Amino acid sequence: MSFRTRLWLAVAAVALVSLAVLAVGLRRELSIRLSADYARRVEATVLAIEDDLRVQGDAVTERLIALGGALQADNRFRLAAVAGAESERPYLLDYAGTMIGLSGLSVLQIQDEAGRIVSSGHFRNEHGRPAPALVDRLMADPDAVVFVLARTADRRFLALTRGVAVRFGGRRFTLVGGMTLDERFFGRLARDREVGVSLLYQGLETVSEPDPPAPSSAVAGQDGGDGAGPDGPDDPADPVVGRLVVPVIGADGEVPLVAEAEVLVTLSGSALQALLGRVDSWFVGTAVATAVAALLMAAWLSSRISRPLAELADMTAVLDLDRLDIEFEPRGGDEVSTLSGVLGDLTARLRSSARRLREAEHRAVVGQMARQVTHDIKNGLIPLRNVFRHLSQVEAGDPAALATVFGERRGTIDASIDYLETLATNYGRLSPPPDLRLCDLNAVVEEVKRLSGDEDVRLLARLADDLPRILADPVALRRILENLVGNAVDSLADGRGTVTVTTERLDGPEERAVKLTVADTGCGMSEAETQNIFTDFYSTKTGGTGLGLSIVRRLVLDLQGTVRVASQPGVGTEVTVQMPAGSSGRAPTGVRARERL
Amino acid sequence: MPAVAAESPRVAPVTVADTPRATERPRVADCELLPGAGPPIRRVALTETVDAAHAPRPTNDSERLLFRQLYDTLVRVDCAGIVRPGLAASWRLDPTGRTWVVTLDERARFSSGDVVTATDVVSSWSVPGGGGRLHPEVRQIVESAVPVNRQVIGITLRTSGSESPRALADARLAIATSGPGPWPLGTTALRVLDRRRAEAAGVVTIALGLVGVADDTVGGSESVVRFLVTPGADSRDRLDEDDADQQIDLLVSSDPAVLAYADAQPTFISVPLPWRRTHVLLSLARASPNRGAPPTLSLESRQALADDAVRQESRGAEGPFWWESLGGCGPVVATRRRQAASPSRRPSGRRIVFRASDPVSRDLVGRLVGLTAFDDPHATALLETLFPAGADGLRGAGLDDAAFDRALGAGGDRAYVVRLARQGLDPCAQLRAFVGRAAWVGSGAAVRAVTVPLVDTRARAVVRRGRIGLTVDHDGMVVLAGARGARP
Repeated sequence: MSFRTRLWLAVAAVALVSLAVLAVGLRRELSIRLSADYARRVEATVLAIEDDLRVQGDAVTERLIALGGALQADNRFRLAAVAGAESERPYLLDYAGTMIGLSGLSVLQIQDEAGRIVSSGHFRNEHGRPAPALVDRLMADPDAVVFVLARTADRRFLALTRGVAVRFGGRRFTLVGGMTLDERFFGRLARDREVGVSLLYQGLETVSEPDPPAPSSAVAGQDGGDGAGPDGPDDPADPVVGRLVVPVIGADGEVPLVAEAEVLVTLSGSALQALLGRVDSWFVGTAVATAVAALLMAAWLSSRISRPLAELADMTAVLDLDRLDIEFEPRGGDEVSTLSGVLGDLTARLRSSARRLREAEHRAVVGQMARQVTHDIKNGLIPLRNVFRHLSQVEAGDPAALATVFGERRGTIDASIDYLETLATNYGRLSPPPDLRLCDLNAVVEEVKRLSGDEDVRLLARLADDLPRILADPVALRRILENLVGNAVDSLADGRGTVTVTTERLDGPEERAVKLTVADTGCGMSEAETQNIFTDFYSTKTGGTGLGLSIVRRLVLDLQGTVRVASQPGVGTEVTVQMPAGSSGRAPTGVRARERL
Repeated sequence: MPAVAAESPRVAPVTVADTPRATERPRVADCELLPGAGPPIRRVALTETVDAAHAPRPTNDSERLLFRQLYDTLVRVDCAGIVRPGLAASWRLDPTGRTWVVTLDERARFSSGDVVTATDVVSSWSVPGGGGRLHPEVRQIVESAVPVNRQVIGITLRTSGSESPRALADARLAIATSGPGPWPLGTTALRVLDRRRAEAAGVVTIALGLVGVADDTVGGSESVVRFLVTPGADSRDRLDEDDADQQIDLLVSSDPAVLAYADAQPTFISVPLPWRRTHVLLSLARASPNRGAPPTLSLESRQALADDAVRQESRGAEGPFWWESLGGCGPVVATRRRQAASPSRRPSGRRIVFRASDPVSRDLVGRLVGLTAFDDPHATALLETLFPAGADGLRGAGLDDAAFDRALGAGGDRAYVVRLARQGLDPCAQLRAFVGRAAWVGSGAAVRAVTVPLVDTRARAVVRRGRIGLTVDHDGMVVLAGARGARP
């Protein structure tokens, strides 16, 4: 994950979490407070409706009282109802129907003292039906708010009903009147466009406008003045419901199967829901803006941080002892600039160190070269010294044989001089390319054996007859042999012992190889000495350069060969060199072929 | 085409001398509502829309009243049920006994003066451009009509076996022909003069003048009868009219408020017209194959309904009723091929359905529903008679005309309160029309079983005191004296 992505995620997470907490908290507070406010409104509306119902009932009573007065003054009604004049019977039957419209009532019936309906306005043709229980119930509490389940020929309906008694002609009549509980009635009660008032009774639901949603949860409401107030909804979408319970009487005065009607006051939660929706919208918008801002900030910060860091990283990646020309230029005063400065200082120190290192290496190389040269020169001079020592011995012992011995040893002198000349030439060219040619290792062994000339050392050569040639630089081969043989001879105690040089042909599954073994009966080495035997400048000999075997190892490696040392203190040492054979096969005996690869 | 009655050598010609002889006829004066001397009726109030395109077949009572003054039928039936000549002078049955040979009165004229011919009669009964196909309403009564010659028509009625072609007096068989104006030319002594519209008063005036009287003498002529059409208006306004040109002489109404108001007016009298309609209750549950004829309401019960329920002038329904004389009608096939309801099927509805525009039906249904709440043995017995399937939960349902026709046709409700003509010229034709509306009724026997007569109603003629010249026909419709005056 890139730094930019991490930065963006971090900024976005911090900002969004804060926003989310704020939004959730704000939302919850709004919901709680507004729900409580709605509940208070509904509670207040329920109380107001209860009062309104009582007021409406009182208005009905007033109209009935007025009707009663008119009734008492109506001679035709008296003739029909009291005197029983058949001619006025139609007038009697139609009386309530005529008065119902004039009085503004929707239910009106006149009942005699036996409770029989003598005239009905809302249901003209149910006259004659006895309903004394209705009169008794209404007159038991004339001021009560009660609904009567009235009916006509084609429907039932609830009416807010009252009863008023009137006496004339020595008889008592009861006027039963009321207002239909229809949409207009509840529309007047609602008083608030957001408040819905509905009446629930069996199947006579009547609602005001706007049509309120069905309540999803029961809420305790007013019940004749008792009961707890409405609670807020659990879900803001749920309407707040208040309830007013009103008793219901049947048209005959009986207690119907469902004796109570409920006036439900509902306040739609849609406004709250809409508000919460807007809060959510603001939250979403702010969150999106925050995310975008975080992205931009991350992009800007990354451009301020990541890019310089990446550039520094790229520049640092290029740094090498061979590439210290990188310039770190600190820009600005920030941490990246500081880091750039540090890297610049580091690079400068590295340059200095590298320079010193190169100088040291140079000196080391020079020193090493000097030691190498010294070593090689010594190797080249040793045969010469041996020859001159021999000649000196001969001159001292048998001067007459000096010329003969000189003639015998002249080849050694010439070879050593040639060797030294070659060394000089090579060193003059510093690192000349190897002169690879197919070489006969046995011949090189013979040469080195011949040039070693120490009479106290028994130098044995066990050479394989079918030894294949190897592709190598003859000088390198001779240096290998001279170093190995020289070390072996040097390891002999008191200069006495045996050095055995063995060549052997190896036929492997994939290639042929040549194995060269130089074993001595010298003092041997410990394991620790053996481990370090190829380390530069490590020597077990006093005054040794410590470069012989390291040179041998390097030369063998250059020939794609391997070199192993096995030694045992007090027993001797055996150095084994294995080199791959060349592609042209075995060289003719005694012929040194020069072939280039 | 039925053959003209030719005397067969083997069968003596049978002439059914149905044309009543003069000595057998009751006096026309028996059907006069306003005997005596005095000025004739000159202004008539109509309270429903009148459309000339409907002529000569009326669609409401106002058209029925107006068209009766203009369009005559081949025969007439007076208030006593006596068949009298109309445009026809004579009639007889042909030997097959199915076809009436009707001879036109040679004096029969259209209001244009043209002679009424047999072809005119057949054309009047046919669908214009229908290739001789009879009008559907005519086909309820007439099976075929063929001009024999200029004055003789062979008419085969759908109901045979009658002793007289009284069915030809049906208003749907009135004779008319197209005229130059919107009104078809009639055959009475009156004709439509013009149609002046009095915009300010919202009154449409249709003036009828005597045939032969020139239009230019219309202006204050006493021979002109004006019909003042005020659809939907309160008829009492017509009685209170101060404008002399707008004051009416005749108003036919059954509205109790109007009649009560007229009775209180010293300038008007109200004359009862014949009991013209009967309201019945139809209840399929009353028809049961396992029972005999179901009981019907007593006259007292019907009268109680009339007294307690109906605000219009009414009485307990009195027979005989046309559906009680359907023996010779034969099988009736519903024109819409509705499957007759099985008598064993009990409708599941709880409605008593009625036509909302009929106040009498509304009153009756209201009373029946109100009685269901009575804890009274009489009420209980009445309800059991009317509703053998039970009366619990019954409620009324007033429907508009189209919905009512659909409900009646379906037969799925508990009962129906329907207004029927009390008497009919052709009971079988009435049965066919009835079954066409309610195929579930089935046969004539079923009609009697499912039908319970409740109340009869009638209208009254409110006439300006002193006016004369009003007779009444078999169906209770009034005819102005000038309409059936002597033809010039």
